[in-house]
Amino acid sequence: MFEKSDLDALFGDLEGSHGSSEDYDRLLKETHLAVALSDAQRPLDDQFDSVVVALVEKHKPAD
Amino acid sequence: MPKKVHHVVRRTGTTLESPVVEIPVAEDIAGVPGIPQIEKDVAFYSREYPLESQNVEKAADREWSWSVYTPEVYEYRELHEKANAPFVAAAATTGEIEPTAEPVDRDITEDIRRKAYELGFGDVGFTRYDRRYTFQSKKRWVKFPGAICVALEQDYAQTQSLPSLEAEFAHFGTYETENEQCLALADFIRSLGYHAQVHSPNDNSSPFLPMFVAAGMGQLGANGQLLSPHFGSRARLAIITTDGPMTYDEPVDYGVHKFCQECLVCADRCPARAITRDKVWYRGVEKNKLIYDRCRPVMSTYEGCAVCMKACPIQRYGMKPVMEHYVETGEVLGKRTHNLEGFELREKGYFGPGELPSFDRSLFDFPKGTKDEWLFAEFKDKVEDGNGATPEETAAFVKELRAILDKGISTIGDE
Repeated sequence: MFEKSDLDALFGDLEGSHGSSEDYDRLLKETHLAVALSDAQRPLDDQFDSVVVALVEKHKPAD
Repeated sequence: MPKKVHHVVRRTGTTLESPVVEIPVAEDIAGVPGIPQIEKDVAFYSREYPLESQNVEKAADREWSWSVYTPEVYEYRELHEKANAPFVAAAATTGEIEPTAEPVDRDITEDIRRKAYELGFGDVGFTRYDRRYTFQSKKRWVKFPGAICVALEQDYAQTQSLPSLEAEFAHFGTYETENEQCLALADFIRSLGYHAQVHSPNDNSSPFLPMFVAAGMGQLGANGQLLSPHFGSRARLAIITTDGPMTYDEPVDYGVHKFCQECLVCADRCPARAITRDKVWYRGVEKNKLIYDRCRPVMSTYEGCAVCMKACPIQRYGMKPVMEHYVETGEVLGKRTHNLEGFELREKGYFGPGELPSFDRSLFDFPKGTKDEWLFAEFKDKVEDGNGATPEETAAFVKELRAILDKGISTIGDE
Protein backbone atom coordinates (compact mmCIF):
# COMPACT_ATOMS: atom_id res chain seq x y z
CA MET A 1 0.00 0.00 0.00
CA PHE A 2 1.16 3.53 -0.74
CA GLU A 3 2.23 5.12 2.56
CA LYS A 4 1.97 8.83 3.25
CA SER A 5 5.63 9.37 2.32
CA ASP A 6 5.11 7.62 -1.05
CA LEU A 7 2.05 9.74 -1.74
CA ASP A 8 3.79 12.98 -0.77
CA ALA A 9 6.65 12.17 -3.13
CA LEU A 10 4.34 11.08 -5.97
CA PHE A 11 2.00 14.06 -5.84
CA GLY A 12 4.95 16.41 -5.28
CA ASP A 13 6.48 15.02 -8.46
CA LEU A 14 3.23 15.47 -10.38
CA GLU A 15 2.79 19.03 -9.22
CA GLY A 16 6.40 19.85 -10.00
CA SER A 17 6.20 18.54 -13.54
CA HIS A 18 2.60 19.40 -14.47
CA GLY A 19 1.30 21.79 -11.79
CA SER A 20 1.06 24.68 -14.22
CA SER A 21 -0.31 22.62 -17.10
CA GLU A 22 -3.95 22.88 -18.22
CA ASP A 23 -4.06 19.10 -17.87
CA TYR A 24 -3.14 19.13 -14.18
CA ASP A 25 -6.66 18.60 -12.88
CA ARG A 26 -7.25 15.62 -15.17
CA LEU A 27 -3.85 14.14 -14.38
CA LEU A 28 -4.42 14.57 -10.65
CA LYS A 29 -7.78 12.78 -10.82
CA GLU A 30 -6.26 9.98 -12.89
CA THR A 31 -3.33 9.65 -10.50
CA HIS A 32 -5.58 9.28 -7.47
CA LEU A 33 -7.56 6.59 -9.28
CA ALA A 34 -4.40 4.85 -10.45
CA VAL A 35 -3.02 4.77 -6.91
CA ALA A 36 -6.28 3.32 -5.61
CA LEU A 37 -6.29 0.59 -8.26
CA SER A 38 -2.64 -0.13 -7.60
CA ASP A 39 -3.37 -0.39 -3.86
CA ALA A 40 -6.14 -2.85 -4.78
CA GLN A 41 -3.66 -4.92 -6.84
CA ARG A 42 -5.52 -4.06 -10.04
CA PRO A 43 -3.73 -3.42 -13.36
CA LEU A 44 -3.78 0.04 -14.94
CA ASP A 45 -5.36 -0.21 -18.36
CA ASP A 46 -4.37 1.80 -21.42
CA GLN A 47 -6.94 4.49 -20.62
CA PHE A 48 -4.47 6.00 -18.15
CA ASP A 49 -2.15 8.74 -19.32
CA SER A 50 1.42 7.51 -19.71
CA VAL A 51 2.55 10.29 -17.34
CA VAL A 52 0.32 8.82 -14.63
CA VAL A 53 1.43 5.23 -15.24
CA ALA A 54 5.10 6.23 -15.09
CA LEU A 55 4.64 8.19 -11.86
CA VAL A 56 2.73 5.42 -10.15
CA GLU A 57 5.35 2.86 -11.20
CA LYS A 58 8.14 5.13 -9.98
CA HIS A 59 6.72 5.67 -6.51
CA LYS A 60 4.98 2.35 -6.01
CA PRO A 61 6.21 0.74 -2.79
CA ALA A 62 7.99 -2.58 -3.09
CA ASP A 63 5.81 -5.54 -2.10
CA MET B 1 -15.89 -11.62 -5.09
CA PRO B 2 -17.49 -10.38 -8.35
CA LYS B 3 -21.09 -9.23 -8.22
CA LYS B 4 -23.95 -9.53 -10.67
CA VAL B 5 -25.03 -6.28 -12.29
CA HIS B 6 -28.62 -5.41 -11.43
CA HIS B 7 -28.93 -2.45 -13.79
CA VAL B 8 -26.83 0.17 -15.58
CA VAL B 9 -27.52 3.88 -15.11
CA ARG B 10 -26.89 6.05 -18.16
CA ARG B 11 -26.38 9.72 -17.35
CA THR B 12 -25.59 12.62 -19.69
CA GLY B 13 -22.08 14.05 -19.34
CA THR B 14 -20.97 17.30 -17.75
CA THR B 15 -21.11 19.30 -21.00
CA LEU B 16 -23.33 19.16 -24.08
CA GLU B 17 -20.53 17.39 -25.95
CA SER B 18 -19.51 14.90 -23.23
CA PRO B 19 -20.29 11.23 -23.76
CA VAL B 20 -22.99 9.52 -21.70
CA VAL B 21 -21.63 8.00 -18.49
CA GLU B 22 -22.60 4.38 -17.80
CA ILE B 23 -22.62 3.25 -14.19
CA PRO B 24 -23.21 -0.42 -13.27
CA VAL B 25 -25.15 -1.06 -10.08
CA ALA B 26 -24.44 -4.39 -8.39
CA GLU B 27 -27.35 -6.63 -7.45
CA ASP B 28 -26.69 -6.48 -3.70
CA ILE B 29 -26.74 -2.68 -3.54
CA ALA B 30 -29.71 -2.08 -5.82
CA GLY B 31 -32.45 -0.31 -3.93
CA VAL B 32 -35.12 2.22 -4.72
CA PRO B 33 -34.85 5.23 -7.03
CA GLY B 34 -34.08 8.31 -4.94
CA ILE B 35 -34.26 7.50 -1.23
CA PRO B 36 -36.37 5.22 0.98
CA GLN B 37 -39.05 7.39 2.52
CA ILE B 38 -42.48 7.21 4.11
CA GLU B 39 -44.51 9.87 2.35
CA LYS B 40 -47.05 10.32 5.14
CA ASP B 41 -44.28 10.85 7.70
CA VAL B 42 -42.49 13.39 5.49
CA ALA B 43 -45.83 15.21 5.12
CA PHE B 44 -46.55 15.04 8.88
CA TYR B 45 -43.20 16.49 9.94
CA SER B 46 -43.40 19.11 7.21
CA ARG B 47 -46.83 20.21 8.43
CA GLU B 48 -46.35 20.02 12.21
CA TYR B 49 -42.61 20.61 12.55
CA PRO B 50 -41.54 22.63 9.51
CA LEU B 51 -37.84 22.97 8.84
CA GLU B 52 -36.02 26.19 9.52
CA SER B 53 -32.81 27.59 8.10
CA GLN B 54 -29.67 26.89 10.12
CA ASN B 55 -28.98 30.59 9.79
CA VAL B 56 -32.05 31.17 11.95
CA GLU B 57 -32.30 28.26 14.34
CA LYS B 58 -28.54 27.92 14.81
CA ALA B 59 -27.78 31.63 14.69
CA ALA B 60 -25.88 31.58 17.98
CA ASP B 61 -23.21 29.24 16.72
CA ARG B 62 -23.14 30.91 13.32
CA GLU B 63 -21.98 34.06 15.07
CA TRP B 64 -19.66 32.16 17.40
CA SER B 65 -17.94 30.46 14.43
CA TRP B 66 -16.23 33.70 13.51
CA SER B 67 -14.53 33.74 16.91
CA VAL B 68 -12.70 30.45 16.28
CA TYR B 69 -11.54 31.03 12.70
CA THR B 70 -7.84 31.41 12.11
CA PRO B 71 -6.89 34.99 11.12
CA GLU B 72 -6.43 33.79 7.52
CA VAL B 73 -9.86 32.15 7.33
CA TYR B 74 -11.45 35.16 9.01
CA GLU B 75 -9.91 37.52 6.49
CA TYR B 76 -10.94 35.37 3.54
CA ARG B 77 -14.50 34.91 4.85
CA GLU B 78 -14.84 38.68 5.12
CA LEU B 79 -13.68 39.09 1.53
CA HIS B 80 -16.07 36.37 0.39
CA GLU B 81 -19.06 37.87 2.22
CA LYS B 82 -18.33 41.23 0.61
CA ALA B 83 -17.96 39.76 -2.89
CA ASN B 84 -20.98 37.51 -2.55
CA ALA B 85 -23.42 39.91 -0.90
CA PRO B 86 -24.59 41.69 -4.10
CA PHE B 87 -25.43 38.34 -5.74
CA VAL B 88 -27.35 37.10 -2.70
CA ALA B 89 -29.25 40.39 -2.45
CA ALA B 90 -30.07 40.29 -6.16
CA ALA B 91 -31.34 36.70 -5.91
CA ALA B 92 -33.69 37.60 -3.05
CA THR B 93 -35.83 39.83 -5.28
CA THR B 94 -35.73 37.84 -8.52
CA GLY B 95 -39.22 36.47 -7.92
CA GLU B 96 -40.61 39.97 -8.37
CA ILE B 97 -39.09 40.55 -11.80
CA GLU B 98 -41.44 40.30 -14.77
CA PRO B 99 -40.54 38.31 -17.92
CA THR B 100 -38.88 40.33 -20.66
CA ALA B 101 -40.74 38.73 -23.58
CA GLU B 102 -44.02 37.09 -24.45
CA PRO B 103 -44.14 33.38 -23.45
CA VAL B 104 -42.72 31.09 -26.15
CA ASP B 105 -45.62 28.79 -25.34
CA ARG B 106 -43.79 25.46 -25.55
CA ASP B 107 -41.82 23.15 -23.26
CA ILE B 108 -38.63 25.01 -22.32
CA THR B 109 -36.76 22.15 -20.63
CA GLU B 110 -34.17 21.67 -23.37
CA ASP B 111 -33.65 25.43 -23.81
CA ILE B 112 -32.82 25.70 -20.12
CA ARG B 113 -30.63 22.60 -20.11
CA ARG B 114 -28.59 23.92 -23.04
CA LYS B 115 -28.21 27.35 -21.47
CA ALA B 116 -27.22 25.90 -18.09
CA TYR B 117 -24.39 23.91 -19.67
CA GLU B 118 -23.31 26.95 -21.70
CA LEU B 119 -23.08 28.95 -18.48
CA GLY B 120 -20.79 26.31 -17.00
CA PHE B 121 -23.00 24.18 -14.79
CA GLY B 122 -21.90 20.55 -14.76
CA ASP B 123 -25.33 19.04 -14.31
CA VAL B 124 -28.93 20.19 -14.49
CA GLY B 125 -32.23 18.51 -13.64
CA PHE B 126 -35.92 19.34 -13.43
CA THR B 127 -38.50 18.55 -10.79
CA ARG B 128 -41.45 19.92 -8.87
CA TYR B 129 -40.43 22.38 -6.14
CA ASP B 130 -41.06 20.33 -3.02
CA ARG B 131 -42.73 22.67 -0.52
CA ARG B 132 -42.58 20.03 2.20
CA TYR B 133 -38.96 21.05 2.76
CA THR B 134 -39.43 24.83 2.68
CA PHE B 135 -38.03 26.66 5.69
CA GLN B 136 -40.62 28.23 7.96
CA SER B 137 -39.25 31.72 7.37
CA LYS B 138 -39.28 31.25 3.58
CA LYS B 139 -42.77 29.84 3.12
CA ARG B 140 -44.18 33.06 1.71
CA TRP B 141 -41.11 33.79 -0.39
CA VAL B 142 -41.24 30.80 -2.76
CA LYS B 143 -43.39 31.67 -5.78
CA PHE B 144 -43.23 29.17 -8.63
CA PRO B 145 -43.94 25.43 -8.97
CA GLY B 146 -41.12 24.10 -11.16
CA ALA B 147 -37.56 23.67 -9.88
CA ILE B 148 -34.45 23.72 -12.04
CA CYS B 149 -31.64 22.08 -10.08
CA VAL B 150 -28.14 23.16 -11.06
CA ALA B 151 -24.86 21.71 -9.82
CA LEU B 152 -21.48 23.38 -10.08
CA GLU B 153 -18.31 21.41 -9.46
CA GLN B 154 -15.77 22.89 -7.09
CA ASP B 155 -12.09 22.64 -7.92
CA TYR B 156 -10.82 19.07 -7.68
CA ALA B 157 -7.25 19.75 -6.57
CA GLN B 158 -8.24 22.25 -3.89
CA THR B 159 -10.91 19.90 -2.59
CA GLN B 160 -8.34 17.14 -2.05
CA SER B 161 -6.42 19.49 0.26
CA LEU B 162 -9.26 19.53 2.80
CA PRO B 163 -9.27 20.73 5.52
CA SER B 164 -7.35 23.85 4.46
CA LEU B 165 -7.69 27.50 3.59
CA GLU B 166 -7.10 26.50 -0.03
CA ALA B 167 -10.15 24.22 0.10
CA GLU B 168 -12.17 27.09 1.54
CA PHE B 169 -11.26 29.09 -1.58
CA ALA B 170 -12.85 26.30 -3.64
CA HIS B 171 -15.89 26.07 -1.37
CA PHE B 172 -16.79 29.75 -1.17
CA GLY B 173 -15.40 30.73 -4.57
CA THR B 174 -17.72 28.21 -6.21
CA TYR B 175 -20.69 29.81 -4.46
CA GLU B 176 -19.75 33.22 -5.86
CA THR B 177 -19.57 31.82 -9.39
CA GLU B 178 -22.75 29.82 -8.95
CA ASN B 179 -24.78 32.80 -7.73
CA GLU B 180 -23.72 34.81 -10.78
CA GLN B 181 -24.52 31.95 -13.15
CA CYS B 182 -27.96 31.46 -11.55
CA LEU B 183 -28.82 35.11 -12.06
CA ALA B 184 -27.83 34.78 -15.73
CA LEU B 185 -29.91 31.62 -16.15
CA ALA B 186 -32.92 33.39 -14.58
CA ASP B 187 -32.47 36.26 -17.07
CA PHE B 188 -32.55 33.70 -19.87
CA ILE B 189 -35.77 32.13 -18.57
CA ARG B 190 -37.39 35.58 -18.44
CA SER B 191 -36.35 36.11 -22.07
CA LEU B 192 -38.45 33.02 -22.90
CA GLY B 193 -41.44 34.76 -21.34
CA TYR B 194 -41.58 33.17 -17.87
CA HIS B 195 -40.82 34.15 -14.28
CA ALA B 196 -37.66 32.86 -12.61
CA GLN B 197 -36.74 33.00 -8.93
CA VAL B 198 -33.15 32.29 -7.87
CA HIS B 199 -32.77 30.34 -4.63
CA SER B 200 -29.22 31.27 -3.71
CA PRO B 201 -27.05 28.59 -2.10
CA ASN B 202 -26.24 31.26 0.51
CA ASP B 203 -29.85 32.13 1.30
CA ASN B 204 -31.55 28.75 0.97
CA SER B 205 -35.31 28.48 0.83
CA SER B 206 -35.02 24.82 1.86
CA PRO B 207 -32.47 22.02 1.82
CA PHE B 208 -32.04 21.62 -1.93
CA LEU B 209 -30.72 18.07 -1.81
CA PRO B 210 -34.10 16.25 -1.82
CA MET B 211 -35.01 17.98 -5.07
CA PHE B 212 -31.70 17.01 -6.67
CA VAL B 213 -32.43 13.41 -5.70
CA ALA B 214 -35.96 13.70 -7.11
CA ALA B 215 -34.46 15.01 -10.35
CA GLY B 216 -32.18 11.97 -10.63
CA MET B 217 -28.97 13.95 -10.17
CA GLY B 218 -27.56 11.68 -7.51
CA GLN B 219 -28.46 10.17 -4.15
CA LEU B 220 -27.95 11.11 -0.52
CA GLY B 221 -24.62 9.84 0.76
CA ALA B 222 -23.86 8.69 4.30
CA ASN B 223 -21.94 11.96 4.69
CA GLY B 224 -25.18 13.89 4.25
CA GLN B 225 -24.13 15.24 0.86
CA LEU B 226 -25.44 14.67 -2.65
CA LEU B 227 -23.33 12.01 -4.33
CA SER B 228 -23.44 13.08 -7.94
CA PRO B 229 -22.50 10.62 -10.68
CA HIS B 230 -20.08 13.27 -11.98
CA PHE B 231 -18.65 15.00 -8.93
CA GLY B 232 -19.50 12.85 -5.97
CA SER B 233 -19.93 15.24 -3.05
CA ARG B 234 -17.83 17.93 -4.79
CA ALA B 235 -20.83 19.84 -6.14
CA ARG B 236 -22.39 23.07 -4.93
CA LEU B 237 -26.13 23.16 -5.35
CA ALA B 238 -28.63 25.88 -6.24
CA ILE B 239 -32.12 25.96 -7.68
CA ILE B 240 -34.22 28.31 -9.76
CA THR B 241 -37.98 28.07 -9.70
CA THR B 242 -40.18 29.07 -12.61
CA ASP B 243 -43.73 29.02 -13.94
CA GLY B 244 -42.47 27.99 -17.37
CA PRO B 245 -43.61 24.63 -18.85
CA MET B 246 -41.02 21.92 -18.18
CA THR B 247 -40.76 18.14 -18.27
CA TYR B 248 -39.73 16.75 -14.90
CA ASP B 249 -37.03 14.12 -14.43
CA GLU B 250 -37.39 11.01 -12.31
CA PRO B 251 -35.29 9.84 -9.35
CA VAL B 252 -32.61 7.24 -10.10
CA ASP B 253 -31.13 4.33 -8.16
CA TYR B 254 -27.34 4.65 -8.45
CA GLY B 255 -26.92 2.08 -5.65
CA VAL B 256 -25.59 4.77 -3.31
CA HIS B 257 -28.01 4.13 -0.45
CA LYS B 258 -26.71 0.62 0.18
CA PHE B 259 -23.19 1.17 -1.14
CA CYS B 260 -22.58 3.74 1.59
CA GLN B 261 -23.30 1.08 4.23
CA GLU B 262 -20.61 -1.12 2.65
CA CYS B 263 -18.21 1.82 2.66
CA LEU B 264 -18.78 4.12 5.66
CA VAL B 265 -15.34 5.66 5.21
CA CYS B 266 -16.85 9.10 5.93
CA ALA B 267 -18.23 7.88 9.26
CA ASP B 268 -14.96 6.14 10.13
CA ARG B 269 -12.83 9.13 9.26
CA CYS B 270 -14.97 11.96 10.66
CA PRO B 271 -12.64 13.64 13.18
CA ALA B 272 -15.66 14.65 15.29
CA ARG B 273 -17.33 11.20 15.16
CA ALA B 274 -20.44 13.03 13.98
CA ILE B 275 -21.90 10.58 11.41
CA THR B 276 -24.04 7.67 12.58
CA ARG B 277 -22.85 4.34 11.16
CA ASP B 278 -26.36 2.91 11.22
CA LYS B 279 -29.11 4.47 9.20
CA VAL B 280 -32.04 5.89 11.16
CA TRP B 281 -35.49 7.05 10.12
CA TYR B 282 -35.57 10.83 10.48
CA ARG B 283 -38.51 12.98 9.44
CA GLY B 284 -39.76 10.14 7.23
CA VAL B 285 -36.48 9.47 5.44
CA GLU B 286 -33.96 6.67 6.01
CA LYS B 287 -30.48 8.08 6.32
CA ASN B 288 -27.22 8.23 8.22
CA LYS B 289 -27.81 11.18 10.53
CA LEU B 290 -25.26 13.89 11.06
CA ILE B 291 -24.92 14.95 14.70
CA TYR B 292 -24.75 18.70 14.35
CA ASP B 293 -23.40 19.48 17.80
CA ARG B 294 -20.37 17.27 17.19
CA CYS B 295 -19.75 18.41 13.61
CA ARG B 296 -20.11 22.16 14.01
CA PRO B 297 -17.26 23.03 16.41
CA VAL B 298 -14.73 20.91 14.51
CA MET B 299 -15.93 22.30 11.19
CA SER B 300 -15.65 25.89 12.40
CA THR B 301 -12.31 25.47 14.14
CA TYR B 302 -10.53 23.45 11.46
CA GLU B 303 -10.96 25.32 8.17
CA GLY B 304 -14.35 23.90 7.27
CA CYS B 305 -13.15 20.32 8.02
CA ALA B 306 -15.17 18.39 5.38
CA VAL B 307 -13.01 15.28 5.80
CA CYS B 308 -16.27 13.44 5.04
CA MET B 309 -16.24 15.01 1.58
CA LYS B 310 -12.55 14.42 0.97
CA ALA B 311 -12.63 10.78 2.09
CA CYS B 312 -15.66 9.78 0.03
CA PRO B 313 -14.40 7.39 -2.67
CA ILE B 314 -17.11 8.56 -5.05
CA GLN B 315 -15.82 12.11 -4.67
CA ARG B 316 -12.17 11.10 -4.96
CA TYR B 317 -12.31 8.58 -7.81
CA GLY B 318 -15.69 9.10 -9.47
CA MET B 319 -18.89 7.07 -9.23
CA LYS B 320 -18.25 5.01 -12.37
CA PRO B 321 -14.85 3.49 -11.42
CA VAL B 322 -15.98 2.97 -7.82
CA MET B 323 -19.12 1.10 -8.86
CA GLU B 324 -17.23 -0.87 -11.53
CA HIS B 325 -14.64 -1.88 -8.93
CA TYR B 326 -17.41 -2.96 -6.57
CA VAL B 327 -19.02 -5.10 -9.29
CA GLU B 328 -15.66 -6.66 -10.21
CA THR B 329 -14.33 -7.31 -6.69
CA GLY B 330 -17.06 -6.72 -4.12
CA GLU B 331 -14.74 -4.20 -2.45
CA VAL B 332 -14.81 -0.46 -1.84
CA LEU B 333 -12.08 1.23 -3.85
CA GLY B 334 -9.56 2.99 -1.63
CA LYS B 335 -10.99 1.84 1.68
CA ARG B 336 -8.35 1.59 4.43
CA THR B 337 -5.67 3.21 2.25
CA HIS B 338 -3.68 6.33 3.05
CA ASN B 339 -4.58 7.75 -0.34
CA LEU B 340 -8.28 7.88 0.48
CA GLU B 341 -8.41 8.02 4.25
CA GLY B 342 -5.37 10.06 5.27
CA PHE B 343 -5.87 13.65 6.36
CA GLU B 344 -4.06 16.38 8.26
CA LEU B 345 -5.54 18.66 10.86
CA ARG B 346 -3.87 21.94 11.80
CA GLU B 347 -1.77 21.58 14.97
CA LYS B 348 -2.89 17.95 15.30
CA GLY B 349 -0.84 16.35 12.55
CA TYR B 350 -1.46 13.50 10.12
CA PHE B 351 -4.01 10.73 10.66
CA GLY B 352 -3.82 7.59 8.56
CA PRO B 353 -6.36 4.75 8.32
CA GLY B 354 -7.58 3.73 11.77
CA GLU B 355 -6.23 6.87 13.44
CA LEU B 356 -8.34 9.79 14.65
CA PRO B 357 -7.56 12.98 16.57
CA SER B 358 -8.83 13.60 20.06
CA PHE B 359 -10.18 16.93 21.25
CA ASP B 360 -10.55 18.66 24.55
CA ARG B 361 -14.12 18.43 25.81
CA SER B 362 -14.32 22.23 25.89
CA LEU B 363 -14.24 22.31 22.07
CA PHE B 364 -17.81 21.01 22.08
CA ASP B 365 -19.02 23.62 24.55
CA PHE B 366 -20.30 26.30 22.18
CA PRO B 367 -23.42 28.51 21.86
CA LYS B 368 -26.55 26.57 20.92
CA GLY B 369 -29.86 27.56 19.33
CA THR B 370 -30.94 31.04 18.29
CA LYS B 371 -29.18 34.10 19.64
CA ASP B 372 -32.01 34.92 22.07
CA GLU B 373 -32.21 31.30 23.26
CA TRP B 374 -28.49 31.34 23.99
CA LEU B 375 -28.75 34.68 25.75
CA PHE B 376 -31.56 33.28 27.93
CA ALA B 377 -29.54 30.15 28.68
CA GLU B 378 -26.54 32.18 29.82
CA PHE B 379 -28.72 34.48 31.92
CA LYS B 380 -30.47 31.50 33.50
CA ASP B 381 -27.09 30.08 34.50
CA LYS B 382 -26.27 33.39 36.11
CA VAL B 383 -29.57 33.47 38.05
CA GLU B 384 -29.14 29.87 39.20
CA ASP B 385 -25.54 30.43 40.22
CA GLY B 386 -25.43 31.48 43.88
CA ASN B 387 -26.59 35.04 44.40
CA GLY B 388 -28.46 35.48 41.10
CA ALA B 389 -28.04 38.28 38.62
CA THR B 390 -27.21 41.81 39.74
CA PRO B 391 -29.41 44.73 38.60
CA GLU B 392 -26.59 45.71 36.20
CA GLU B 393 -26.47 42.20 34.73
CA THR B 394 -30.24 42.16 34.36
CA ALA B 395 -30.18 45.51 32.59
CA ALA B 396 -27.41 44.29 30.28
CA PHE B 397 -29.44 41.18 29.51
CA VAL B 398 -32.52 43.23 28.60
CA LYS B 399 -30.44 45.57 26.46
CA GLU B 400 -28.85 42.70 24.54
CA LEU B 401 -32.19 40.96 24.08
CA ARG B 402 -33.64 44.20 22.71
CA ALA B 403 -30.76 44.44 20.24
CA ILE B 404 -31.31 40.84 19.06
CA LEU B 405 -35.05 41.38 18.63
CA ASP B 406 -34.53 44.68 16.81
CA LYS B 407 -32.08 43.08 14.41
CA GLY B 408 -34.52 40.25 13.63
CA ILE B 409 -33.68 37.01 11.86
CA SER B 410 -31.79 36.48 8.62
CA THR B 411 -31.67 33.41 6.42
CA ILE B 412 -28.52 34.61 4.67
CA GLY B 413 -25.40 32.55 5.18
CA ASP B 414 -23.68 29.39 4.09
CA GLU B 415 -25.95 26.39 4.80
